[in-house]
Amino acid sequence: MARINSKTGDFAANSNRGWLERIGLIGLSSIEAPLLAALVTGSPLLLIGAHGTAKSLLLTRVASALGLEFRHYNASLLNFDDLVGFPLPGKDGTLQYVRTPASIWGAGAVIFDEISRCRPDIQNKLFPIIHERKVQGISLDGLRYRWAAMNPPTTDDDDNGYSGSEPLDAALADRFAFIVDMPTWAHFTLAQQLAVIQTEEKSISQSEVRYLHEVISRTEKILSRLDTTFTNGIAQYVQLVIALLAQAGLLLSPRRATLLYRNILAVNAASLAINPNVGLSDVTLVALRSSLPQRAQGIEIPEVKLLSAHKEAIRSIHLSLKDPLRAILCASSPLERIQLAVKATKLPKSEFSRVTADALAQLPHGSREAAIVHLFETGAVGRLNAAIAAQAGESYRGIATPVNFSETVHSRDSRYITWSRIKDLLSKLNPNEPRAHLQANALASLFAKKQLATPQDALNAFTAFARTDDQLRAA
Amino acid sequence: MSDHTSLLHNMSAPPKSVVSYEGLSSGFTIKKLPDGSGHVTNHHSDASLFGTPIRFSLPVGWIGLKPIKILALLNIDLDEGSYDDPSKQLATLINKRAEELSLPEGCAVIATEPSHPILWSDPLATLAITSKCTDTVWLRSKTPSIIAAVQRESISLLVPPRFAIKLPEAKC
Repeated sequence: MARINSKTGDFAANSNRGWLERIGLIGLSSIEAPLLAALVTGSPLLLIGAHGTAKSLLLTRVASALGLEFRHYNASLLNFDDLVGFPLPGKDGTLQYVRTPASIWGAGAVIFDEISRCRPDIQNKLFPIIHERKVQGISLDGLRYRWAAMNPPTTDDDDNGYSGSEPLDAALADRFAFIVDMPTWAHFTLAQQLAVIQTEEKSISQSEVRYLHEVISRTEKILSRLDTTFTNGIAQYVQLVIALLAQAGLLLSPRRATLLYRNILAVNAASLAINPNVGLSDVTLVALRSSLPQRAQGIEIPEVKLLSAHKEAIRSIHLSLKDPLRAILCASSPLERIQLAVKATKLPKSEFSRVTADALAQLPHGSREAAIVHLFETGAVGRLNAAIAAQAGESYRGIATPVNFSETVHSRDSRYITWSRIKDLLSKLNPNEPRAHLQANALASLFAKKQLATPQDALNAFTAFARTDDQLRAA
Repeated sequence: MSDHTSLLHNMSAPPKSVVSYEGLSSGFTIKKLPDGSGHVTNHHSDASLFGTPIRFSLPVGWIGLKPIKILALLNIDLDEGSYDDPSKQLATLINKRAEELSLPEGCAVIATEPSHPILWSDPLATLAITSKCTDTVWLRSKTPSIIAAVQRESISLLVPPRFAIKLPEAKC
């Protein structure tokens, strides 16, 4: 696939030092591309990191290097008057503000430090500034960059969080296009650690300023020349990765879909401007990581699920819009994916096997057994590869045929109590109804395999089987 | 379905139970044993099999046969070019026969019972099953394993009800 329609040179590739290091920020090369993308697009940027990870330094150095008139507010101490100045009634009856050196008027960049420690009423007032560059409904002409920084928010499950650093409101977090985790000391190389230890406060030289302007300009050029094959591919990636993350419990808003798309394009352009040798998949993953608002909300993002969704979505870039695999992967529930995969008879065996195995693994007990019955009753099991079909066959055998096991149990044992519950549940089934035998066998089989630990497990599996079986047969 | 609680048991030992399950029709019980010992069992009768079991059986003396011998017993002459590797010719025949069987694309393999009917008695049909089976499933599209094909005397598949109507009448 043609990736970037770039006709620009390769001066950045010859540089050993990244643009952040050139302005005195060491060990941050991993976040250079998303930060550059944020500069080029002017999108709101939020840095999250432990204390002492150079969040504030980074933002102030960048603002200085760009020669911006910027305001640095500590949001935890901020009063609204600090932002807008003192209100005074004008001669024509309108409200005017007495501008102070610290007020936001005329600033090219604002930095809201410690935004997670900000009072909710102030957060609400920051909202339109970050979102639409307005304060009290008045446009902030000249304000291009809206940046913020915070410590990792405290969560109920995390004892190591910062007390006082509250999770951001979901709507506010969603207004930041880029949410970037700061690299920590442990991520630095030994040489970088030494360099940080021996760092000296130095002003930024004109040559480094020129370099930064050049790399920004170069990124803008690349971004403006991205070809449609590439941008369409990224749109497909975004569509799919959002569906896959939703399946993993990470919901993203439609606005985030747009932001993610723009971010990925911009980070790819920035990455090309910095180092053209980095691959599409790696850069896109960096962009994805830098675009998830959950980090600001104190919601954990499981790494395995993130990587798995990314890997699946990046593969889809090559799929046509009519490819059934796209629809299958975009389906929100594992059961729906199985149904679609069974219907898509032209799906290659390897894809059918992978989709089915993944979906089965995500289904709860009861639903999984009903889905396996569906695979056999439709004959779709024959489209699975042998290893997955063999596992399905083992389960199906326990549902459609006798289960033999022998075990000693005490009457006070939880298994005894669970079996008592199963007995009650099975007594409700009508033996004259053929499907009832499947349901009974499935439950007995799960019990025999010790996959039902409590009476509640038994009830859940019992109802899940019936519900799923009905759903699959109705379809 | 019934529950039996013993009147006498060793008070120093926690009571134990026998739990049995013989399929939904046959009942499922919990029995408490007087001596405090017991076991849990599940038994399921053929009546509660969901689907139609069918059996495939190799002729006596076929276990462990080499492909060349199998082809000879099938009265099939070796093709030109198959002298070096007759298993390829046998695999082709097996695949062809597998396509002809009116079975679903995949079936569960179940424990063989003499009562399971044999619908296809020709050895090639049996080889088309035994060579394409794992321990739990038969797959029509699986590459046949000639070695595995002659390791089992007989094998039974469970055909789901929807496909059972396409099966021929039992021959024995």
